[in-house]
Amino acid sequence: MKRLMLAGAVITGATAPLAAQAPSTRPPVQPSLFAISNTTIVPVTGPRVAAGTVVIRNGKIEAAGANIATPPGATVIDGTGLFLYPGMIDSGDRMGLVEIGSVPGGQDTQELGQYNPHNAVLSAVNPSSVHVPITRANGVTTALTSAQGGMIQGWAALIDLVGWTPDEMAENGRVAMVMTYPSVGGGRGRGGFRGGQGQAGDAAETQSRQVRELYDYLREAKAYNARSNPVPRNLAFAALGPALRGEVPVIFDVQTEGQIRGVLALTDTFKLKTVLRGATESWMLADTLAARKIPVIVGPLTAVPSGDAPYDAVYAYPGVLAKAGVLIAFQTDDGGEGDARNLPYNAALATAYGLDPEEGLRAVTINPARIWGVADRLGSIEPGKVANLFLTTGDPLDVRSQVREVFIRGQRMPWNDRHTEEYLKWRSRPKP
Amino acid sequence: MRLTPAVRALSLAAAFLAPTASPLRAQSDTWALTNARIQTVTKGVIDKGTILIRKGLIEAVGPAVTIPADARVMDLAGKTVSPSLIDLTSALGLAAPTTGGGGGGPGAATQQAQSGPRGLEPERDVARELKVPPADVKPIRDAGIGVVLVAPSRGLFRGMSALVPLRDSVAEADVIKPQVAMHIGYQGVSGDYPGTLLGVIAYQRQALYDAQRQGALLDRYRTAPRGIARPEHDPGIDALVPVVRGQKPAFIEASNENEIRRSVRLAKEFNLKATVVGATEGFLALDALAGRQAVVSVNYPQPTATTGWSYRLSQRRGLNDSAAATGEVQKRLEGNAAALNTAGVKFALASGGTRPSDFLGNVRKAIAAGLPAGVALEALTIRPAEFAGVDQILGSIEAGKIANLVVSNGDLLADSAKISAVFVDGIRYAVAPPPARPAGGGNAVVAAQVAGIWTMTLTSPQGPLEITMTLTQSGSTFSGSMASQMGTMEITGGEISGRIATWTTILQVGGQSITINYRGEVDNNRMTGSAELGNFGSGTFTAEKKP
Amino acid sequence: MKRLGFLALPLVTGVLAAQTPAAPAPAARDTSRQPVLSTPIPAAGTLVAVTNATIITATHGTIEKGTVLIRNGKIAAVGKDIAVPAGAQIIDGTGKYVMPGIIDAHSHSSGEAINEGSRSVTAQARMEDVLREDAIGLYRSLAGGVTTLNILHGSANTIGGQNATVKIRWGLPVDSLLFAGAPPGIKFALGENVRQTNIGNIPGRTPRYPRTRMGVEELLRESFTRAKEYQAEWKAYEDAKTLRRKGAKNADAEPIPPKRDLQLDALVEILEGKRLVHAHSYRSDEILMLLKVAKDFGFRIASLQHVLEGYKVADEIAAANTGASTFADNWAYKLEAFDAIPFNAALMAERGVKVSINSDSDERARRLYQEAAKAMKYGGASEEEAIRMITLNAAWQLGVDKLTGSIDIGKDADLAIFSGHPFAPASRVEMTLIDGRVFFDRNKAPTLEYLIELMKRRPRANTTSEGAQ
Repeated sequence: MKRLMLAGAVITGATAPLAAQAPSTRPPVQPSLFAISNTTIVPVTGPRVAAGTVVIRNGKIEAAGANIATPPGATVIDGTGLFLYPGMIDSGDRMGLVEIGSVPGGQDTQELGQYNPHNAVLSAVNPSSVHVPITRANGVTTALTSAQGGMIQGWAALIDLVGWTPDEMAENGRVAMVMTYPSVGGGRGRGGFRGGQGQAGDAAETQSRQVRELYDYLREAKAYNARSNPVPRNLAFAALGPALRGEVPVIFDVQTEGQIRGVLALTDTFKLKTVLRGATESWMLADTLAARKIPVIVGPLTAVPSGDAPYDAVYAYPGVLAKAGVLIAFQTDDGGEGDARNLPYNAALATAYGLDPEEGLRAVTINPARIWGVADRLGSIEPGKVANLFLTTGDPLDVRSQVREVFIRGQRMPWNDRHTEEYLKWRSRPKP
Repeated sequence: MRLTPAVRALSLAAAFLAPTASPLRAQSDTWALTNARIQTVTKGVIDKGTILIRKGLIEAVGPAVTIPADARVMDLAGKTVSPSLIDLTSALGLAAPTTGGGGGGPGAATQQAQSGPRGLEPERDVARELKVPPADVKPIRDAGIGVVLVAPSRGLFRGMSALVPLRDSVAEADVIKPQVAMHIGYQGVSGDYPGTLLGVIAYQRQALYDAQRQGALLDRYRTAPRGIARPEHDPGIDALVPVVRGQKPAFIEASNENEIRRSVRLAKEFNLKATVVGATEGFLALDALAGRQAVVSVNYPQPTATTGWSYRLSQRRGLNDSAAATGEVQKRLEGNAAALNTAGVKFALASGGTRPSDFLGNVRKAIAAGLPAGVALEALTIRPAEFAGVDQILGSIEAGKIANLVVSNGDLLADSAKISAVFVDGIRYAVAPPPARPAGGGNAVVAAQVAGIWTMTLTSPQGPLEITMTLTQSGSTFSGSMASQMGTMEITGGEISGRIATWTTILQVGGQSITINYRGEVDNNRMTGSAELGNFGSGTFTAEKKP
Repeated sequence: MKRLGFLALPLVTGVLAAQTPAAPAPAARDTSRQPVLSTPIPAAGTLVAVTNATIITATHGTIEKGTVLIRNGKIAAVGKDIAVPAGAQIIDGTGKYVMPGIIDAHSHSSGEAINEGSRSVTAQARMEDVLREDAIGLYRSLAGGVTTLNILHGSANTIGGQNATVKIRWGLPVDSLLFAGAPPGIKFALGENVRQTNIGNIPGRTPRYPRTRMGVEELLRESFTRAKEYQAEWKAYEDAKTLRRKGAKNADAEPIPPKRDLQLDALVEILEGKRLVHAHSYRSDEILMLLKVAKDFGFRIASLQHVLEGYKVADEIAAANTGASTFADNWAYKLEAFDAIPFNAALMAERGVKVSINSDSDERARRLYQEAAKAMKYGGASEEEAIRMITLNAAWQLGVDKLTGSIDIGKDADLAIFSGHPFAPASRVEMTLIDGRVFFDRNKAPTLEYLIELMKRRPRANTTSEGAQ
């Protein structure tokens, strides 16, 4: 939490800063009433409002705009000189599934086996993960967390970064099915003289076989789901039902053009509601993806361009997609290195290489809300939506901005995350 | 006894041979090769002359030589005789190294209990280990090579090489010269220090400093041993003492630009009498090689592995420039020897691991890229002899030298040259003409027959596809069409080379054109192969022809 | 495949100078680089002026609409209203921001080997022996405004190998990348990587000592004890030689020099203050341990690297005149990184430590300017302090602060030109200069934008078949 005591964010009202708001037992409905006043509201879906006020009641945004009266009994937060944004949404990370990268005991990111559609990460999310308060401290209020490895990873969960239990955190515990698509093995196989040839041939064969397997698997799952009372039950196939019926999005974590084309073919065959993720070569098919209305989760921008790609290929591809009309949102793919909080800086890098800054902001707020089917609840500051908000000293995409307040589900987040606590503690160490 | 030049040379030759060797151990006849065009290398070309061979040596050579009665006469009218080639890069008869060295990671540790050499044996003496299977000798000799320098191929201090004649049976007694040079490389040992290039170079420097010191200590001890502790005996360091004094040449295997620079830096630091071996990127390090000598390999590396290939990524270039750039770089690599020649660097040419049957072809590529043919021939004969210190007895056709010759129909380095015989130590080995191969002109080769109707199954990332392919053939080209549920496509560029068929189709899909390149191997009525599907990846196919 | 004749012609636009520069020594080697396998070598920066730009000097504030005049590769003048001599190559900086070239104090770029992990002490190994000049990571860092790299041995060993300080003179051979005038350095490492406890026991291989932090301390003391003995041996030898030379009656016969040991040579250089120590470290206790060991043996640690718990012992670090080179906010990837806080840099700086922010990765090196801005966000470092964290402070840690690291007269003209303020979100690097030569120019670089333009102009559909399958 960057709300520094010494920098003096002005807080009025009954609560003393040190006493953290104790979240009550049953979010989101809580007796809570806040008014953030005299601030610049950036709704994202509408024009900015200068000197506006936002009222939060019982977890929702009750009102937002200029000339809004402060309800009696509300805790007032003076937003003078500050900016209010909707909480940001990270469309891909391992939130709650990994604590310390080098310690296997705390990692639940990867299960054995290639086909795990019936695995659902929500129950493995650790609500007490240190990464939760760290991440939300920079205004990232919601994360889409999922497993990795294998061909079908299973259900992803969309979680708010608040809650006593995983279920409480969940916006949607089965928000999308996560898969990948076979790629021709490890790079271009340009090793040695005869060795190079052999490798390329083997890799192509392996990929063909894997594709066949994937098609076969999905066909069987489809057939299974078409039966009215299948016995014995196959939980894996059953889990694919909603995806195969087009009821939930299917996220494909892929990179290359070849993979993307393969995904498109698969999409046609099985009539999936496809979302591409990562997809650093998707710019090659921008028009196709726009025409087919396939959203792309871009990022992380901290990935290195592959092989022969231009040096700014990863920085620039979100801009290319957006200009072509593709609906984009950002992911950090953070695997427990504290990178999820840097979601807006992914967008920032993209704006330096062609992405319109307004689109950059949308791509971390309303766009992911639309893609994940929660646009009625999240992604912008509109009355009726969930009060996921943050108050900041400037543009969230600007690294220099400091977040002063974060609200999730209308609860005011305590500032005492691990990092801020350690900072203040060691700052006060007397000189030896 | 009159010391004729021949006898003098013979005594000299005897001095080089191992003490127990008898020059007559292998029965070599007395030969008179007449009417030949003789490419002596050092004394010009004799348009029509005779070479007299006796007891493994060239007794006489000239336009008019008296032929003794006991000589077997061989009329070589229309043929050219050149010195047989000397290849300074061979690992013939040595056991292949057990592990790949250079970067022993965790996995390599499981092979720690290896008993074989690890690449850290300066004292290793190849001459004592030789076990050459005759079957391995013939292919090399058939390429016109009469003598090879055998050294271990991996490691940082690999040992000392031996100069070996390519006779059918070769034993330690036949070695022309043992301990020719100390061979140095850049691969580490697995599972131990030094495991990576970092440790290798540090280890080499330390060892050479140790050798300098050891030399000084040994000298001192030799002159006045009383009262001082005797120097420790370390066979490895002891073997390096003459190297660090410039008395024993160092052959350092360095191919790419940075390896070459590293080897020259090492040579400078320790004043080594160093020869760079490999030097395939010598043209990128001409400044480093100035005033030095190199054994230049014609085993051209992949253009994409060449130092600087990635610079393309920092320059604006066209689409699909890889192929064009690869071609340009390939030319640059083939022009390596020519560049070194122009820069005045003294060099020998060597196979560097090229298949023997490709060796002269690769040399010809260097000539096509600008290396004068005369320089090339020198670099295959007298230069390697010099570098190995045996130019008194090998490397050219002169009276008194060892009778190592190669007989060809015309200039050895001409494109159409065919070798018919190779003499090693005066023993004649016939070289059968190579079997007709599909690669290249293919004029005398029978092309497979593909005309007819084929049922093909193509397996690709998009799934399996059944195709009916109808072909007509004319000589080594064919045409036709491929019909499937995707439509019918015309075949273009159908060519047969031996049993390999290649052709192309263009698939129109969703307003886009995708070029598909096929390559199949024909076996009567069956064909198997692969297809490049543009951006759809690649696939494989099998096909059967209706008889 | 169609040949598009881009290759043979280096694209030279009007930006390059009209005058023929007198070739300084390195140019002689330049001509050995040949086209296709090399990139066109930029003209020597004999007379260059970057005009009308916002100049972030790092030492004396920001100059609006200023000019930097470069002569023979050095900064000759900086300020407003600088007269630009005729014949100068003009780089129009209108609307642009110029800052000193970024210095990355922790890199493993371009090394063909990084860790000689077979032994715990490998001070004899040298990074300069194993560099390869065409590593694409170098170029991408250059495109992110980086001009100088501290290429370090990896963190597998308690005492690792010698470093190589390089300038990213992309296109030149390795020898020309080495930063002439940079003092030699060496890598130490403490903690988890050295103890190899995260990789566990390798079957068939004896675990390597040390396995504990106290073992690491013991190994350091052991090594420097040996180094001191070696130093004494050589001194005794030199003294004996001197005695003999002076013809002293009690002189020995010609003394034998001690065995020269390349590893101990390097350690003695550390003792004598001639080789800078850069020590990878995390935990506060091991940091204090190292500072004490150095003090006991009489040498200084030039910089602590990563030093993620440095904020806990900032005063001790400052008192030892040791620099700290850290990450902006990377944490939790290892147990020893668990207490890391993004306020580390600002808090250490507050307590008087010279702090730099580094990458330890080719990927992060491309955007160090964004990382440095985090020091302003977390802990309120000033803009100038944050800029110094990727310029002058890093230069100081590497011992090259008299030569580079700020835009001051007499220093090397190492500059990064941005499209906006380096810390602003939509800013990117437009040009990078080293010694006044333009080694990166986005207008000439192959960008995604450019590639898409090319593809649009082709008659065929939007497919590429670049590269062999």
